[in-house]
Amino acid sequence: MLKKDLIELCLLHLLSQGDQYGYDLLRRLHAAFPDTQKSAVYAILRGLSREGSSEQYMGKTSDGPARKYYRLTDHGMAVYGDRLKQWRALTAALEELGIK
Amino acid sequence: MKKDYMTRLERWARWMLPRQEAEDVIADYRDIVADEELFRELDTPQNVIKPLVQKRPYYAWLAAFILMAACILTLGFSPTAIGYYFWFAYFDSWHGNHLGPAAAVLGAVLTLVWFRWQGFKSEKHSKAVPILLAVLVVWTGGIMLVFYLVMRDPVGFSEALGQVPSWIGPDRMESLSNRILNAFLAYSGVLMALLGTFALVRARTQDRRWAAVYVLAIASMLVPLEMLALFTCMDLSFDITTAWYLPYLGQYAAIFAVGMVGAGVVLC
Repeated sequence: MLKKDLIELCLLHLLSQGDQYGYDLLRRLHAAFPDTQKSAVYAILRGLSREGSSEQYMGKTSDGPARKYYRLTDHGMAVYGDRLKQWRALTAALEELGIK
Repeated sequence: MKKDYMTRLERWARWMLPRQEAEDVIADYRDIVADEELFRELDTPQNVIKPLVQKRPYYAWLAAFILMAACILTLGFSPTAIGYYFWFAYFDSWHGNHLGPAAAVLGAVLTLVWFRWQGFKSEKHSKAVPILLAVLVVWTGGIMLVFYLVMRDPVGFSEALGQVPSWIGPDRMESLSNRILNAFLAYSGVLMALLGTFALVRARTQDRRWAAVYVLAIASMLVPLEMLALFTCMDLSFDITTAWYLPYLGQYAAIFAVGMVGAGVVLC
């Protein structure tokens, strides 16, 4: 699994917990991967939208202008399941080697 | 600083991304830029947008842009030293040859279709567009008036300033006023070509209404170039009767009217 795939997994995971807007996703990913270019993280987020894993809609906030929210699609849910499976297999393999 | 950053980011996004993608990205970055910490570490707008580029739609846009720009630049520069080959060899002195107008029509139609399909229409009206359209109307109207006045008394006009002085160029017994008029018509075409290309860039990065300036600039470029073609053609079969030039003036007015209709369609 490459770092890109890890970031993708994180984004899918965050979206699986509920709809979020781009700024929030980027801020949380920035906290987890501070040495990664934000434009690269954002490009992965847009990539998810393009391939149909997520979609955008205009959502209302109580104290401000309408914002574009990202939500996971059914296809995105399936991709998330696959990535999670890959991640678990990888951590199991690492643990078998004694890396914890 | 943030406003400047967003302005540049919006331009890059609209230049490099398809319309909807650009609007989504701009909406996200408005929030991101508002965050001091995230903003501090952001890369330049160009580098932020580059990883988002989808090759296929971007190259399609570049190909369309090159074609639209070529339609106006090739014609606009054709009577200058740079476009000598096109004017004399390819267009065979232009007059009576429909390649020039055909290229202009191709550029205008492609622009109408492209920006109707892919263009971004800003909620804020740019003041520059109506001003430039008005300038083009007055400029081209002025050129047609000059044509009319010159053709009413071509001999008197030719003799008005005498011959070309030797310090300007080789003495070819050429009328100075004719040479000034030809240069004015040629460089008027160049000016329109440059304005049209600038308008194309603005139509993509700011507001699709700028495409109206491109369409009218094409018409404003064709009018003086058609006049120049008439003045420099070597055709001796003209029926020089009284007011023989009026049908030509009618043609130029028709070209410009078509341009105005095209500009109106873009603005709708």
